[in-house]
Parts: sequence; C-alpha cells; structure tokens
Amino acid sequence: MSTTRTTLIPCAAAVAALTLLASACASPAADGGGAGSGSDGALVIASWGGRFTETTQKHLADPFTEETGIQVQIVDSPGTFATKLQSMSEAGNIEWDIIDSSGAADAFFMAQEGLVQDLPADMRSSFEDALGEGKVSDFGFTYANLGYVIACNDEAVDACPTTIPEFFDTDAFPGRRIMPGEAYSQMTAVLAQAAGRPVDDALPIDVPEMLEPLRDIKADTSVWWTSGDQMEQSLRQGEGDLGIFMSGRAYNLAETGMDVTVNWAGSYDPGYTMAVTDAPNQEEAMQFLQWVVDHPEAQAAWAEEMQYSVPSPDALDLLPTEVAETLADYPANFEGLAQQDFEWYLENKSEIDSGMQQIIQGG
Amino acid sequence: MNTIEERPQQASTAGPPTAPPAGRHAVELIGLGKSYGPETAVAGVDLAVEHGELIAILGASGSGKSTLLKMVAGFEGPSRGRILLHGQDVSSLSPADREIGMVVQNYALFPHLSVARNVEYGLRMRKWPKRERAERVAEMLERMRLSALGDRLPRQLSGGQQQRVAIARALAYSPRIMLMDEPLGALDKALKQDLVEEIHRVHREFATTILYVTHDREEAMTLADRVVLMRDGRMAACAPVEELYLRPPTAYAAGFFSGANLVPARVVDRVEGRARVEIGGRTLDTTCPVDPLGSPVTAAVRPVCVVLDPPDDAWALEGEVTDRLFLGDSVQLKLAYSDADTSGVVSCLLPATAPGLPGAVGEKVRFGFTPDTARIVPDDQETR
Amino acid sequence: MATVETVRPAKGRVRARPWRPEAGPVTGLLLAAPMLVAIVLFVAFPLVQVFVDASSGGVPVQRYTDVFTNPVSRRALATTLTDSALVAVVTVALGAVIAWTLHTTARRWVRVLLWTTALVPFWMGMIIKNYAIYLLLAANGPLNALLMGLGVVDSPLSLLYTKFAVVYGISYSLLPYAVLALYSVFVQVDRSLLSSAAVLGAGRAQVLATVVAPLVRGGVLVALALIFLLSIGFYVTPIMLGGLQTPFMATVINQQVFSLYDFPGAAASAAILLVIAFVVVATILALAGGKTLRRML
Repeated sequence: MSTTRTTLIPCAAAVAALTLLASACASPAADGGGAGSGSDGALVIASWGGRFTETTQKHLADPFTEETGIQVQIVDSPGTFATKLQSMSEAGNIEWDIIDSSGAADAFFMAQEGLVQDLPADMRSSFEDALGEGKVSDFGFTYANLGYVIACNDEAVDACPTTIPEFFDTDAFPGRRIMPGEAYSQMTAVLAQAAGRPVDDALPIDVPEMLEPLRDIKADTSVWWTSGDQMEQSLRQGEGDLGIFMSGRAYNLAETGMDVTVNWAGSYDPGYTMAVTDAPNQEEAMQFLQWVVDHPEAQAAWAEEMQYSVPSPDALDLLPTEVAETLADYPANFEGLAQQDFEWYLENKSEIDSGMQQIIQGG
Repeated sequence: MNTIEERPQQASTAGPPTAPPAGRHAVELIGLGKSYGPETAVAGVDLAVEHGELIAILGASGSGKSTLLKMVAGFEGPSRGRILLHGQDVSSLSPADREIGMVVQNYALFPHLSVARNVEYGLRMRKWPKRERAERVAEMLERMRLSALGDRLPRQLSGGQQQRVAIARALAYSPRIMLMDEPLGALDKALKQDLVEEIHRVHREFATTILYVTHDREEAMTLADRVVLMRDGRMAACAPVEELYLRPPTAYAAGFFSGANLVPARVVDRVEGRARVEIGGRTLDTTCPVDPLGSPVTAAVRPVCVVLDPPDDAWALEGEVTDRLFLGDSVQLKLAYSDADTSGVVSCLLPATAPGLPGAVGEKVRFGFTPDTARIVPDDQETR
Repeated sequence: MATVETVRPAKGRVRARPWRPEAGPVTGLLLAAPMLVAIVLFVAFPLVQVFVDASSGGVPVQRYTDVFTNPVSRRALATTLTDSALVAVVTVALGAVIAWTLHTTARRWVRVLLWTTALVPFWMGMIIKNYAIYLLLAANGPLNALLMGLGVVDSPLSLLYTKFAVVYGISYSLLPYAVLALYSVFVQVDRSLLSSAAVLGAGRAQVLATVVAPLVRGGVLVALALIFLLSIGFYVTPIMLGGLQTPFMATVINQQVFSLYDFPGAAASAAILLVIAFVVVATILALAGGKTLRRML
C-alpha cells in the first residue's frame, strides 16, 4: 500500500503537466476546427468595456435578445480590436461575431485586411435608406460617432477660437494647448484645416505640408493626451488652457461645473459597427446589424446615455434638443467638422503616423 | 573652543594613552542606575575598581549585569549616577571617546577584514601613523599567538582563535579598561578552559583592568580578583573571590556562588562564641557568631561538606537517594530527609571512590555535615 | 534460529533508500513538471519568439538599427535607460535609509511606521497610485498650492509630464522592492559589529563607511540591478505622469503594436531592450561578485 502511494504523487504530477501541455497546445486547433459553433451559440460582441459595454448591453443587446431570442455575450477589448482580430485570424480561431463601434481607421484597416466582411448589396442599400448616405460603408455603419472639437477653459482664456486656423494662431489666441497624442487619423483633418484647407475639402493633402502646423503648435502644447480621462483631467487640473477634445469629454467637463466652451470646429470621427469575417454566428451577426438600424429609439437611448452620436436621423429627432445639440451628427455640428479620408490615410499611414509621432515624441 | 574644553573629558586622538594617573581608581561607579519607564534595571550601584583588577560581574539573566556593562561602554545612558574612568567623568561621552576595549560573546569580528586588519581597526580610528600601526599589530598578533593567522579572514578561524583576535583588537590601543561580556559563552568546554587560561595570562601580562560579565560562577571563580554579585538590579555582594566563596554573606550568595545547600535550622546553643544549630533533630556546630537562641536561621553547607556514615550518631540524619550523577572523579547525590518538623533535600559531592557510596536511587543512607563548615547566612532568599 | 523467524517487520512505510528531507530526483522532477512546462510555454517560448518575430521578413538587421536611428525610439530608449538609472539610484538610496533604520532602531513604533510606509505602495493599484501622484503634482494640485502659498513660486510649476514626475512615480512604486531587497541584506549585518566599531573609536559615519558599506556593497548593487530592471519595463507611470513628452520604450512598443501595426518593429524594440537589460544586469552582478550571490543563495 505504502509504495503505491509514493508513486501515485509523481504520476498525478505528470498527468497534470501533460494536461496543461495538451490544453495549451490543442485549444486553438480544437476551437478553430469547429467552425460556426461559437460559445454555446451566443452572439459575441467585442466592445470597449466599462460604461460603453454596459450601455450596449442595456440598450442594444438586451432588447435584441428579447425580440429574437438570440443570446448575446459582450467581451471587452478596448483599443485592441484590430490587433486581437488579426491574431485570431492568424490562429484560425475567430471568437467574435460583431465589433462594436471600432475606431474608423482601425475599421478600414480591418476591412482592407479582410478581417471584417462586406455587407450584402441589398442590405447595404437598405441601411443607406434608413441612415443616410455618409453613414454606411461597404462593411458596416457608423456608430458612437464624435467630433474632435475645440474646447476652452473660460477661466483661463480670454477668447475661445471658433475655427481651426484660429486655434493654431497662438498669438491671437494665447494659452497652453492640450492636443491628441496618438489620434493620428483624426488629426489629419484638423491639421489640413490649419494648413489652410477648407472644412468641406480638407483631405487628401500633401503629408509634409500637413505636418507643418503640428510642428509649430508643439511649443505651445503642454499635454499630448492619450486617454479620455487624461484629456479631462488636463483641463480640470490646469495643465492646459484649451485644446482639441473628443466632444463627449468636453461636455463632461461642462457638466461637472467647469466653465467650458465647446466650439464645433475640427474633425468628424465615426466609429463602425460591423460583422467579423468567418464569424461563428454569421446569420445572427447580420440579424443584429439589421436590428440596430431598424431601432432608432434604441440608438437614441444609447446616445443619450453615452453622449456619443448615432447614425439614425430619426434617433436624433427622438432626442431632446439639448442632448442632440451635443452630438456630432447634429446637422449644425456636423457642418463644422472636416471629414477624414480613410483610404488616403491607410495608404499613407506609416508616413503620417511616424511623421506625427516624431514631432510629438521625437524631442 | 570653549565648549570643547568644557567637556568633562577629551578623547585622546593619537598615540597610546599615557600611564594611568596614580591614586585614582580605574573605574568608579557612583550611584549608577538605569530605569526603563517604571522598571528598574539597575538600582544605584557603587563600585570602585583598582587599576589592574579583574572584576567579575556575576548574575543570573535579568539581574542587570549586562545593563551595567552597557552603561560603562556607553550604549545606555544612565538614569542616575556617574561613571568615572581613571578619575574622569565619562557618563555622557560616546562609546568611541571612552577609550575602552570590549570583547563580546559572538566575537563581533569584522567579517570582511583580515585578522591583522581587525586588530588594526582601533588604531586606524585613532589615526596612528601607518608604521606604528603595523608594528603594534605585529606585536599584538605575536603576544596573542596569532602571528601565523594575520592574513586569514575571521570565518577561517576556530571560535577560540576568533576570540583571541577579538582580545588582541581590543587591547591594541591600550584602552583604559577592558569590558568582557560573556566572552566564553559560545565556546565548548575544552576551548573554554584554554581561553580562561589565555584571559588569565592576558590580564597578568597586560596589567589591564577588566570588567568581566558572566553568568557562570566557575569562570568568575577562576578569573576574578573580586566578584560583584548582581541580583534584581542590585549589587547583592561584592567581595574577593575566595572570601565570597568560603564565607558568603547572604543566603543568595551562598546558593548562587558557593552552590551551598541552604538548610533550615534553629540556634540551640553557643560554643566558644559560635552558634550550635539543630537540623532535623540533630545538632551541628557552625562557624558563625550566635543568633538569639531558639531563632530559626538558614544554614549554608557546601556539597563537599556533606559526609556519609558520620561516626557520631549525634549529628547523623537518615535520608534517601533521589538522584545520582556520576561526574568522573566525584559523584553528586541528592539526599532527601524528613523528620518530625523538618524536611528537605541536600546536594552532596563525594569522591567516586568513597567507601559506602550508594549505588542507586532509592537507597537509604545515613549522612551528616562536617562540623565547623556550616555558616549561618541572613535569609534573603525569596519565599518559595 | 527460532527467534529470528518470529521477528516480524514493523508496520509503517517501507523505504528503499535512507530518508532525506528533499524529495527524490524523479519525484522532484515530476512535481516540478507543470511549472517547467508553464515556464517553457509562457516564458521561454515568447522570449525566443520576440527574436524570431524581429527577424521575420524584410531586412532583419535594419529593423534593429531602426530602433537606434528612428528619433522616436532612440529618444524613448535613452529616456528609459537614464530615467531608470535615476529611479534605481533614488529608490535604493531612500530604501537603504528605511531598511537600515528598520534594522537598527530599537523603537517599535518607528519600525511599524516605516514598514507601513514602505509597504503601502504594494497595497495600492498601479492606476490609483499614479492617479494620486498625478493629482498631487497637477498645476492646480496641493503641491503647487503649497509652493505658491509659501511664496516660493508665483505661478504654478509644470511638474506633470516631466522627467521629475516619471522618476517620482516609478520610484514610489518600486520603493517596497528596494526596502525588502535591502532589508534582507542589512539584517545580515550583525548589530554587534556596529557597537564594536563604536567602542573601537569609530564615529557614526566611519562605522557606515568602514563596516556597513563593505558588507552590504554587493547587496546594494543587486538591489540597483533589480530596481533598474523593473523600471525599464514600466508603462503606466511614464504615460500617466510623463505623457508623450517623455515616453518610455514600453509606450513606443505599445504604439508600434496598437497604432502602427508594426509587429516586427515592436519585436525588435523589445529585443533590444531585453539585450540592454541583460547586459546591464550581467555587468552589475559581475561587479557585485560571485561571493555576494553565493551568500544570497
């Protein structure tokens, strides 16, 4: 008896080790092989986490499940949709069905790489009918849209610039700038205006010409923000006086009692909701996209809670004016924003990104 | 400048100190006491130590002997009283400025320095010139029979060798006094004997004043000129070693230092000015003057003064062996006796070859105390 | 003979070999197997993969030289190394004072206070810690309010998004590591050596210089290496307190992966950081000497 016990322990350990090894090696292959069998048939949506995920769950996923009986599971992957999806695709193990409001540049990149699938033609045209022409791309529709706009701390500046050229005129409008540090694509449309392009025809532009204003404004920039919290804190804590802000964040500051002026001049920054190529639940994914387009009241509720704009004109009409006024798709706001050119951006991505990065971080 | 001159004593910074000033004590402790909050660790000790004397400060743990030493060394500030070294008040000087040498139980040799560099350390701190340092180190190593080990690191030495290095290091700069804190505590018995002889020799040859703290009465006995017996923070006794051993002034001294049996007795008579006491119904002549007749006293009898089968029935007690330890040349017995009104256990030490030695626990024996060896001691034992 | 036959073996576990405190080699290896597998899978494999990725496609050598020629990564690399060196010195100096006081003080309340102070950064999340420092250093923050209240400065100092803020933040996070590493070295310094040196005539500074310093030198070097290593991998603190003005390599690698989608470039940056870290640590350990390491093992 006693001798068997002493050999039992090493055996158990060996089994444990082998199991670990086997599961670590085998799991991608096993899951990747069983195509179409997502996690128990639930639709998997990749989202931004935190309040964003909660709001999508409450106003989109839950009513969708209620109507269709399709279960939804939301996973958080903030800022890493493209990279995660790319590695899933390389491993042959796609786990997601829907991507919730990806950044536009990332969305076009994923489309270019074939990671997200094009909408069927009939679906696309019906979406355009419902949402309007500029709101639908080959692969999805815009969602969680916002503006990169001018925001000023009224206690720190005498006058708040109303246009981008004014913002870049540091003599006429002195003050320490708070600038986006990593939003390269969004900045192209802003910088093009600073370089003298009109709002309605800002891009494409010669890259070196576009970078000039950035180089000039650097000396007056005290903060290059890389997160929404940081941009809010920078104005609140007095690290800077005025800046290019995400519109929702600028209104957040005003809501907490700061004297903040928001001027709708800058760039329009859409997000894209889309279906993943080779998604485990393809049909359900398309059903979800259709459902969101068909439910402006769900979009309106979502927008009111998140302060991000939604594509449906009906949704904007459903919202109280004081809320609609703060959203990027509100016509008066939309007019002041320059459109990004994502195809041009992706073509010149490395030149644009590293050009901006070198100015911002190159010392 | 003034402030420096006002200091009670200036540390000598270079060269060996001059010869001790004549007529002053090497060490004088005046009403020295230390309290930690309400706890008194040392209560008003007065002591004067002659130049070249070796004083053993003996006591059980918690008796205050270590605190006393720490105050002399300068690691504890006295709560009251003063410390004079060579007639100068050093009570408020830092240890570095007291010109003392110290040897401790764990040697405290610098592990990263060779033996020679260890010995040199105090000289370097005193900024002796390099040549004099080298000469002095060589001399100290020679005198401590360490010359061959000068380049070794402490961890390459035996415990006894390490302690010799520690002694050499402490003596190198001719300190005013030497403090030894249980210096043999970490050594085994054989090495201990060697080191005892070594310290004895050092004391003789260097003529250094030594305060030697120990809990081991045999070390104190072998080495000391005088013994200070500490108990509960007080000096329980202070006497030349032989006198303390043979004529302990108190029951505690008799028990702790002389290892004597403390036997309850009653004074029944006087013979030539000395008391005759009754123990267990038998009488015994003591070496002490009389107490009032009839009073209960404590008689101290050392184990070697117990005899088996005394020829005179008048002072023979009946007892039973309760423990027997073979010690080589001698055998230690514990003998329990009881009588109508008294009972007790005495310890006795007998030659291993003594006739009639009981062979086993449980044997009945007749025993008695050698006349004129018992002392009546003031009963300062705690009540048990 | 009869008695021999009647002797029965005692009941109990039968052992073929004499008993030893450690398990036998086979049992030990098998018990360690899950961990070994995990290390190969999650440590060794990714490390090798970094170099494989950096060398895949294109001109591999150029990818490594790019790290030094691209102004962004060159500056980030320099910032990472110099700031981390500063962090190592500051943290070890502060940690040494705390650890030494912990070792030598006789006062219980001092020990409790210092342990608490030293370990509090452990109990706070990275974000909380950095956010607290962010608020402390902000233009409208308490530190600037104090400086202006005292009349030291007229307008708020720009403390955020500076080298100072980054070094401060990382040092605060790493202080517990320094204190623990140094304390484990300092406790090996027998306090009786200090009192002996004092009796032998050494002042406080001399005790530190002639006794303590030589004994703890190796341990201090190892602590410096440890803090430096931990510091060069920092991401959150440099980005929160240093912004993009003083980026660390981790920020740049993150941008390479998540903004530029340049995986081989990111791998090359990581590989170079890894090699530099290895060289620095190897140098410091060589300085510390095998003796110290053997003592620590």
